[in-house]
Amino acid sequence: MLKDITLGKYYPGNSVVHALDPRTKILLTIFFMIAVFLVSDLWLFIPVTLGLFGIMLLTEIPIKLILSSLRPMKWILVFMFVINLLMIRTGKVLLEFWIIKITTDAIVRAVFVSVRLLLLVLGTSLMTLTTTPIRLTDGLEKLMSPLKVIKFPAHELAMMMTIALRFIPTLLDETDRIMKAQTARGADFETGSLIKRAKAMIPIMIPLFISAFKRADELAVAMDSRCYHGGDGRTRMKVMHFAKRDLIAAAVLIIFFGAVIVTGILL
Amino acid sequence: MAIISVQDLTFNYTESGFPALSNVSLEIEKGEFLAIVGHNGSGKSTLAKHFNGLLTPTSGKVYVCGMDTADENNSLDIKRHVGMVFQNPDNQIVTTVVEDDVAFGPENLGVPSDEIRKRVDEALVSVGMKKYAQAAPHMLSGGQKQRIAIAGMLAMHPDILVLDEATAMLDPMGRREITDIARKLNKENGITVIMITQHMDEVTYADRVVVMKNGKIEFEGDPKRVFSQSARLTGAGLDVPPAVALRNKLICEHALAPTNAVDTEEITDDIYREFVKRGIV
Amino acid sequence: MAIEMKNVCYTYMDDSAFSHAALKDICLTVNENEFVALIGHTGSGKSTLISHMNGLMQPQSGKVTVDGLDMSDKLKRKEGRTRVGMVFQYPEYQLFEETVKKDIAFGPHNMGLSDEECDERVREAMELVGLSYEKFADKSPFDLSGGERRRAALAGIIAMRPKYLVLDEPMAGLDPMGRRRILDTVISLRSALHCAVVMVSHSMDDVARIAERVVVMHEGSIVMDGAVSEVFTHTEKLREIGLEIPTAARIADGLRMRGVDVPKGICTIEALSEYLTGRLKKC
Repeated sequence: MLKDITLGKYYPGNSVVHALDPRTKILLTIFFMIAVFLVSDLWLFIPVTLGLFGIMLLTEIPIKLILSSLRPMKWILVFMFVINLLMIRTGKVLLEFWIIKITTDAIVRAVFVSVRLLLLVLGTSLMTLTTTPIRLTDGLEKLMSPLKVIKFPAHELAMMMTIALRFIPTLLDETDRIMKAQTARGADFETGSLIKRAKAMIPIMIPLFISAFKRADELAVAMDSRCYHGGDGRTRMKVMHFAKRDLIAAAVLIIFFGAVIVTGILL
Repeated sequence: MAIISVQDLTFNYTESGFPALSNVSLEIEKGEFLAIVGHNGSGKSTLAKHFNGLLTPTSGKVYVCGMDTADENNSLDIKRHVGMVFQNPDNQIVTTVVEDDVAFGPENLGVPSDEIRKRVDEALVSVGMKKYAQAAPHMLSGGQKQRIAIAGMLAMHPDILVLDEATAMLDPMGRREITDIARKLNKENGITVIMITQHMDEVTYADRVVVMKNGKIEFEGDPKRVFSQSARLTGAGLDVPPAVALRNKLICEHALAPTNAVDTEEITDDIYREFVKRGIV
Repeated sequence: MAIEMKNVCYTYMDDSAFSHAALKDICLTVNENEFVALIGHTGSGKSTLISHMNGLMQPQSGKVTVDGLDMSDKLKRKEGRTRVGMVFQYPEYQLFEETVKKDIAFGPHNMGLSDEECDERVREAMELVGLSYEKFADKSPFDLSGGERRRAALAGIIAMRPKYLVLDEPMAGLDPMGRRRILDTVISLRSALHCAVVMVSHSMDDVARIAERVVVMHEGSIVMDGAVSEVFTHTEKLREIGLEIPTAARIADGLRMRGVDVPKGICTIEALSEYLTGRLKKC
């Protein structure tokens, strides 16, 4: 049952977006997020959405699948919408009963906040859908490497992320196995009060922790045996190169979203 | 000169505890296929961890390719020369893509990118895993994962390969895959192989078998000699392969002329010869 | 009374199905008191099959009953589960309590037994697996050796007094002495508890020695099912699906090929040695 959780929702493909350097995608995603935050007018979201839609088409991933990344967000969206709808009390009153007062400003604001959130989620999904987690990690390490000067552990962080990604499926498998073993001994995880259920997790959590520590220990020995001694003097088999397409993609997107931002400021 | 030389090695995990190894001396020659067997806690894995400096002697000396393992400055160089594969296939693969994992060792050594690519491809070919280069490790079988672990070592171009109970968690097919590769690397590439195991049938083709018991070397010799002393093996908490057990029983009953064959086929031959000799067939 | 599986089908939906194959129309009855060995490749569906025996997995079609209790029914499943004791691979990884005693009592406790009854069962189970109560009961399971931990985990299942004991590779990863101990324990358990045993194993020599019936799985189907001596005479077929053959059967086969008429059905070293001694010494 635990295997149903999809992790790192990478969607394999050979599109231009897939082929971009991960660093380009990370930087452009950040730029896109800034652009979305700087836009202060609801109407300016139209060109932003169209631009994003254009990139979606370029990824060659079924639109339906991209949109499905919004599903886990639906309650947050509803919450944000309702909060804004109820909290803003300026503008023309459209509806009023009991303590609820809905105004024109509130509607505009609620829609604005929701659309902004939608765009942010979609934008970042495009990055994770078209880049393998490991490439993202590599990209982040490279981007953060200048920070090593101020002792920022860029390599160590990236290595931790890599190992985490590697062991998530292993530990999920293990959880499944331990759960089965305890169920066979009559453990019940599905009925009873909240406290009883929390208690029922102990027979799973303890073996899982013990095994995770054991794995960590063995992995450390194995890495040591493979001459791992931190990031210094380390080379990589796959070297990242900025290609022409990275330049073009960056130029197009910066001009497009830059224009939107500038328009927003000027208006 | 021996490629690994263990001289009067004693090792304590804790200061006060019973020593895990006491006064072990062992010379391993270049190109040898050595098997080390012993019961759980006999010290065989502790000994293996001295071969690449993961552990250093409490007293005594271990030299690998002439380098003293106790000298910190040799640490990286020794690990490069000695590839180690461990028991649990899941706990030695570091990254999420097979070929990236094989590249991990040479990357640590600072090998140039093109050279790593070449080594990774070669290593994957020699363990027969080329077509899984892009696969995710957790989707592979135990035997395949161990092959990847071996490839990861080969990519560092080691002189010695230590399999520290690398077959213990595998099914018979996985075990065969690993022992076949170990034999091939020994015969064709001249790599010194040290195989630590509990499965007695895996040691029949070793050049030499070292039997360990309670932190000491109990006895050693070629497989034929070692298996001829089944009482001593049982005393060390081990057993002989079933075919050898049959052979011993028949010899004991005077139903078979004394033979030191250890391979199942050879033993079958010997029994057949007995039938011919006694004029039954 | 028996575990009955009728036309059980199961297909894994996710792509991680590499390590465990689907089940295709499985019909299998495990009778009271019999010793069944389940053999087949990794990925032939053995683990999936045994997970169905106590309702940890539900068939997508078909039916599983334990002593007539329908395992698809939530309430009956709970009752059925206590009758089918499951010892998974590397069961020592399920230990979690502070003391061996408490851990073994986990199962009986979940069955709703009183403290006295639990304690009695813990004592009995520890004795059966060969762990002295005085010496081990109050120890932390994590201070035991590998072989002892395995036996403590086994005791945790025994304490539930199952009528059917299902063991998934109980000897995996142990040294020769540990293997022998577990095997002896399984044999003695059977006579002490009068339970049926289903054992998944890769060691054909062990299977030949201790099982009565062998069920061979291949790609999610049962391809052979019969008495040990019967199944291990079909050496060709076993080789075809890539399974090992007991050493004794292999030697007997080899002698037959060389022209010695060794009777079929000999598959243990003991039987073969007895037979060969008899024939060779006559002359």
